[in-house]
Amino acid sequence: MTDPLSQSLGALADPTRRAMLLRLAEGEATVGELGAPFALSQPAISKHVKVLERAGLISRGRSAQTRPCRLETIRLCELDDFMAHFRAATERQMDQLAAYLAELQSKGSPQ
Amino acid sequence: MTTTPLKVSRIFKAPLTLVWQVNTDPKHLAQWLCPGNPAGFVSKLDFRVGGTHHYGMPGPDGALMWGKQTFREIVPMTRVVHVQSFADKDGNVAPHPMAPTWPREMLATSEFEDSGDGTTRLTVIWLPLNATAQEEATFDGARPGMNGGWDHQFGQIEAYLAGL
Repeated sequence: MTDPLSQSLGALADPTRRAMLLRLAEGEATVGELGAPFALSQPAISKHVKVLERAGLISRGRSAQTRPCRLETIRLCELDDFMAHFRAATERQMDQLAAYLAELQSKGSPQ
Repeated sequence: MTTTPLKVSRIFKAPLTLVWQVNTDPKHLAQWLCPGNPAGFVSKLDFRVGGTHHYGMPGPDGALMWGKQTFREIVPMTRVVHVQSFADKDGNVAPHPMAPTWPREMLATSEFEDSGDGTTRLTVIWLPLNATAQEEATFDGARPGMNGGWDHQFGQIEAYLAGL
């Protein structure tokens, strides 16, 4: 058995699927809409969607015939601890970058 | 809530050319990545697609924390895509010192954008790239017919880089 984090990460280890998740971050989409930006066959697109679904990263609606896909944020939450590290580090670096840019420009200007 | 992929975005009060310059020149990188000790920043940068940046930053105890970046895409004044990892002093990819089970490699996309009035928006997007045997098995199991998938491709890129 694969633990959920590993399954999520495995599903994320593919650029097409990552792009699909990015698209779903903007809202629900049908499989057709998800596959539209890629030069891939319909079966290949379906396979990517199934991998994301099996990893619990997305779910499919039941009502409409198109069964729109949506992000499953619960599974994404499990990656929080991991990703929080990178958020904190990136925010800190951006603070440092802002301070340095301000310093550079105050030196370079006559003020 | 943090979501995956992780996106951090900020607008800096500086023109695009300057923001690009201080992000791609080791002399500037030392100044803002190690503001307390820029002279302690060790950097070997080969800024081109396929090139790497191997660097060491002095930690609180003075010991160098090593990192490595491998550039996948460079569009001047627009975008840099790189693989980010922890490393040893020789430039080999290493586990995170505090969290050895974390993915060793993260894909970072940095977008640079002129946001008017001499300001620049910088957006950094992080995604985990995973290469443990377990993940590889998951991936292969999910996609029979692909030879090892993404991790395999990445291994080939590494082998190619090693041979340059």
